[in-house]
Amino acid sequence: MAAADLLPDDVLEEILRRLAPSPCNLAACRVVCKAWRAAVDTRCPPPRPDLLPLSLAGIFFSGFYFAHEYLPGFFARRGHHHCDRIFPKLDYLDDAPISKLEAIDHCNGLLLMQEYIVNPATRRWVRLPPTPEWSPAGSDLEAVVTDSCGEEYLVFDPTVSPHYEVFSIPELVFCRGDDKDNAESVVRQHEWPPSPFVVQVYSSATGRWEKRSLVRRGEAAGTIADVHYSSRMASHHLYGVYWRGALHVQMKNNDVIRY
Amino acid sequence: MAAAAAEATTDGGGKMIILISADGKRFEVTEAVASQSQLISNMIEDDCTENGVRLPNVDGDILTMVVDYCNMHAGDAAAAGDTMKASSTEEELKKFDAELVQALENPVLFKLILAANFLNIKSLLDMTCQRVADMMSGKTPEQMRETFSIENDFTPEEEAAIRQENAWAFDD
Repeated sequence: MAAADLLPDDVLEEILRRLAPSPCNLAACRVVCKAWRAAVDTRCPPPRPDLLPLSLAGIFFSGFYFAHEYLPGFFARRGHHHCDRIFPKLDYLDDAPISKLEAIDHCNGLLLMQEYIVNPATRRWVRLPPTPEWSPAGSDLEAVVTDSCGEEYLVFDPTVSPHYEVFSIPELVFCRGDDKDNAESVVRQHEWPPSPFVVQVYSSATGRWEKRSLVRRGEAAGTIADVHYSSRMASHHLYGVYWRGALHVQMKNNDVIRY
Repeated sequence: MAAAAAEATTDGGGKMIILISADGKRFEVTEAVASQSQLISNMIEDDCTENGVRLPNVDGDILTMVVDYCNMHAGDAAAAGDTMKASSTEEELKKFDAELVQALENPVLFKLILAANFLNIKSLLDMTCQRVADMMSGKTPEQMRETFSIENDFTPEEEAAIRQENAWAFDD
């Protein structure tokens, strides 16, 4: 029997909607016949069903710092066939100082190991060009924020695009003209993050770092003073997570900003 | 006789309605029971149920199930005022519903879905769709085709390409 004769589209949609929480089930439905594939692709509410592999193949572990070396490891379910292909040792990175590489970030199967992007499953890797120096060009912050280093965050969603991006998001380190005794100083009262917020973005589509201007939605997290002096987390990497199309980055005052 | 029944009233004062299946079987139900179908409820409002309601795409055995279901669930609303009775009714209803869908073979289940869809009985449609979704859950494409007797209209190349798109789903 042809599937289209079996159930009308609106009924099929009712059924698929109930399966939607499990992408594996929807993926299986897409293979059944043309009518079902069309129904899944057109009638299932976004996010698309062929989204992420929600099964976890394994955990890549790299932050184990021992005797001045980072010892990477990979934990996987026994017998999972991906395991055979994934080696924790990154010795396939040609001339990289692999023992010194630290994982900065990861996203949907890609690793950001300092200036290297690595896919442990395919063992393909690229070396990023150096991050351009950050300057808050185009804003009145240029005059006052002189030294800030960018924290890098990886954004990769294979269901949206085969290309990944690396965001270098400035973190406040030092402000010129700032007078710690003067709580009323202009700099310290400036809101942070500013809007527009100019950040450097590397895209694998272009192979270059480019400036991108982000417009803040909602209120600022606070003033420079709030963010800069609220805690002493300066030496730690601040966590970021890419989730549902937006990059969420933790700030020094533990607020989270979303791009 | 049928026309007379259509005009008859029950003790509760509700008007009776005659439903006529595709194969000519007649079912006499109260307005309260029949109104669970949005389609019939609209017809009652429009006052066009006097000569019975013909349902040309619902077979007698399917309509039997639909009427049983509606009879059970109409009691639901009637008993709502009596808390003790309502709670026991709720349990009975759950049992009745579970037994109704569990017992059904595929072609009948699908006919029941189509009837619920046509008559627009939301709770019955929800329940039967959920049953089908449960049957599909965790099955491979081959098992789904077999369960629902669906013809695979992909070429082997097309099927391989679609599997590749969702390769992660077919790992284990």
